[in-house]
Amino acid sequence: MAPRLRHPHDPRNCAGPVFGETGQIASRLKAGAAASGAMSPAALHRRAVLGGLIATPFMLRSAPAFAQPSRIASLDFGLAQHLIVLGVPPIALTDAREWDKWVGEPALPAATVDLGTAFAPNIELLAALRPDLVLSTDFTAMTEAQVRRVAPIANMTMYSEGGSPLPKAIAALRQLGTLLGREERAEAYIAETERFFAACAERAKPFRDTPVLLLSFIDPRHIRIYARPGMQQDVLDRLGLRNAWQSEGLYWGFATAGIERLAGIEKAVILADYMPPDVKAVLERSPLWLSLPVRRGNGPVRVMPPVAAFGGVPAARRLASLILDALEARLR
Amino acid sequence: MTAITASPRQGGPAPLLLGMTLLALALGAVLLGPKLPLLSQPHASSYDPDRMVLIYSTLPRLAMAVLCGAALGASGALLQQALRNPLASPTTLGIDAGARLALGVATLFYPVLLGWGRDIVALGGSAIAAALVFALSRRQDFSPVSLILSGLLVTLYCGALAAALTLVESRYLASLFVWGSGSLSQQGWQPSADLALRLAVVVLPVTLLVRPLGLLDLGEDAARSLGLNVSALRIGALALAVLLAAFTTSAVGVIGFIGLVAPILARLAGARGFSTSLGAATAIGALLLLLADLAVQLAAGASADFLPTGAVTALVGSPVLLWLLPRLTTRLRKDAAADPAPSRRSGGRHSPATPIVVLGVLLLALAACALLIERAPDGSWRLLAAADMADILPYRWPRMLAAAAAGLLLGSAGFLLQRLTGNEMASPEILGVSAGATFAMAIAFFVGGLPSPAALTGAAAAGAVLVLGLILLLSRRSGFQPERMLLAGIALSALLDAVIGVLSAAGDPRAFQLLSWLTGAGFSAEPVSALASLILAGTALVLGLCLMRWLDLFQLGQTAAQALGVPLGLARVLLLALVAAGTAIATPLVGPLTFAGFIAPHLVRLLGVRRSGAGLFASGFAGAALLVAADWLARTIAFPFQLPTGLVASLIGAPILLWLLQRRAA
Repeated sequence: MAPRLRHPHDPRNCAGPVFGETGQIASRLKAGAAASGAMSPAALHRRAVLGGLIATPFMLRSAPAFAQPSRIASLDFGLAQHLIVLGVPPIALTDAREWDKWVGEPALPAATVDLGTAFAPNIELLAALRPDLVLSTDFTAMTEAQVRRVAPIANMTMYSEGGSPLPKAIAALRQLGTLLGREERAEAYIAETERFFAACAERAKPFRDTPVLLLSFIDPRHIRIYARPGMQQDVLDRLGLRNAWQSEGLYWGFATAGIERLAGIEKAVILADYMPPDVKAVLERSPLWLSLPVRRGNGPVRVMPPVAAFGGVPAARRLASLILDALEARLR
Repeated sequence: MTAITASPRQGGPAPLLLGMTLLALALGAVLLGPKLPLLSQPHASSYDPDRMVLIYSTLPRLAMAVLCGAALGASGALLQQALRNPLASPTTLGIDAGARLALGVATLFYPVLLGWGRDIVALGGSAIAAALVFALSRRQDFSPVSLILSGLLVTLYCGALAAALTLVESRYLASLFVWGSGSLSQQGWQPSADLALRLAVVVLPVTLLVRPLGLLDLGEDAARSLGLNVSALRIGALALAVLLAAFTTSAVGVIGFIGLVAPILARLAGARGFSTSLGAATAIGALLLLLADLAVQLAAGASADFLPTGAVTALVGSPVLLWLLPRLTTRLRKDAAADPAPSRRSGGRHSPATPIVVLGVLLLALAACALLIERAPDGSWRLLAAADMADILPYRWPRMLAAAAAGLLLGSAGFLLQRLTGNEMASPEILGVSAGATFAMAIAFFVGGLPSPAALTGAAAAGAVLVLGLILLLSRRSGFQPERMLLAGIALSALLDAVIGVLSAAGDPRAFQLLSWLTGAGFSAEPVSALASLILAGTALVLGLCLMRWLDLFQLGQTAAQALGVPLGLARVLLLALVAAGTAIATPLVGPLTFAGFIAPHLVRLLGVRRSGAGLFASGFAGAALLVAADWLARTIAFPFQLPTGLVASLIGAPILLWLLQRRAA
């Protein structure tokens, strides 16, 4: 096989069997992974590491090639979405049972094994499945020490301090493509995503004058408001739509507030991605809620089908479609 | 009788109430002043968001604050009077925690129930928690300290269960977080009207009880000789206090410490007689919460952060508890010699070695079970196949060994602590050491970005040492009276809870990471660390054995021990340091909440071990057996979920403990 050009930190550069000496390879994978660093000082400079990741294609070096990982487990919904669109669906996923309720699309293969909760994945079960690789983010970094004993870890964090998630998600998808030897598929998906967003922006033109308010209901009195810098905001930006909520939130892309905080918003279309079962009835009796300008201009809140709130590129695309569907349905 | 020593001011609580009212008016003027003219506008005029917020959010919120504060203040005053316990309150007796857990469970399994049954659910939870607290402290005649310790245990237990629910169903229970930290945010008048109605129902029975409760000031015997049915009176007062607190928590969530601080302030301000102090506590409670909420609203205006009022009151209130402790003048400590379980009575038929052998065999059997009986990936039960051993055991034995080491440490620490204090409610979980460790880790989390596990362990150790130092310092004045130290631990645990409440209410996902550590779920057992903890556990046992002579002499009572040449202060410091070190090592392994240190010594006493040395080992083995069993169940019962070991241990342990206490009471 012709020698291929690789990044010096590329996990596949190491000599020897890839999936035997897990410890050594794990540490190499770790060093190479973007925004890695539960263990290293590099975690303090995520932006720098991320920059390095984006520059990966330009820092090339020759090295021997290896078999690609194919049995992959994920500790994160967003990364699992990426695995699915790359055609290597996860063999196991934490909280897999909740996929249909919180993610919806792309469909998770029914054979995917549920690993339990993200903070205490079932290590023995994971070991029995013999994965080649486990995907993790800074959110689940606490469990990496345990997981690393079973399989190498690639940490690809999309939600972190500094910057917004969509570019990081695209970078993570590209990195995953490289890691799995599916560069073409990753690039094709990313290019398709660009075209998709361009088409969506076209579709969104009639709604440019209507600010959108994206909410998630916690209880009848409190909401999460999706805000900058979040995936939801990135999607609105791509569509050319305006977020009616202008203040910044956490790096996860939301702010928690009492419903009365919406009183200052004159005009907006409210879309919710989640509403607990008991909220609607209470909400529609609340005099404040009923008199809010955003409620009076809208009628009862429209609750969208499930879409991952902290997902990957597929979640961004799904959210774009759902927003446009809801806006167009409103006109009819 | 217990009392707070501070020379009560002359002139009663009126000046304090006046001052607080003036302050509330001033803050209210700042908050509302510019908006009040909006009220006089004709309703028909065009929509004005400021006016709507004023009418349907700001004003009802202030009304809600007054109602809740008054209810909690009255509830605290009733509890403190009925129990003759200056630290009694809905927060310290587990009533809040019970309501919180009940509503969490309801939210998860029967979300629709909340539409009409919130109050019933909250009331049920509160009542069960209160009943549990009284069952636990009945053995010690409801003495103030044992009551508060039981309250804390129940609070911790409910908190652990709620935390586990949150971990498993994190996405559903964001509401539990917000509710648990007591947000007063309102969107209409209905909730405050509902609460006012409920409170109004309670007012009449409370006024009927004021006079008889006041007679308790004469002392129980005097009250009884005046023809008072003291027990019935107490139960009535407690029921009313629980009702008041449960209605409040059901309406807005947990608002900690108002019920504790308001009656104490009333007394400090010079309220004499129960009717005055009840009235003053009610008014002070209302004003306190109103002031807190005005401050929060003014602060929230400046920053967009979401800050629930209940979390703020807890944040301010728990240090107040810490500050009050040295001012408690009561001989809280029952002399060890008066302990109803004297040590030197002959132990019965078996030699001291027998229970240790029994426990050792049990431990080995459980270990074998834990290693070999497992769930297959499809969920069915099976025996570990020989072929899989090489693959699976390397992940299983370190975890089991770590659990065993933690059990040894906690069991022996609990034994030492219970012998040392002569208090069978004592347990290392309540010492505050694990709270300190967790606190330090929380700070590392939120300040240092994402620290490495090594940094986290370092932070935990530093936190444990710091807390230990602080507790030693605080209790130096009391001559290291162990009960004082336990109470200081309560205050620290409560403060920790408040901090986590503030963090998690804003929905910061890092709070989940912290929670996972809090329940011991985040621990990674590796062969090296597991072996190291086992060695440390062995060392602690040996050190404990070295101090055993002192401990034996302690059982003769303080005076006797001193006369026999035990350096009381030094002995206490050394024993407590050992307990703290053991707890600090065990905490990262299984989380701060196992109840192993609480239950193991009781089991040992049940087995009839009297001698201290044998008791220490037996207690260590019992703790290890409990945690090994818990670890096995944690891995298997909810497969593929791995439950936190500490949580499962407390789930197994609590019923055992209740049974033990009932048995001993009979």
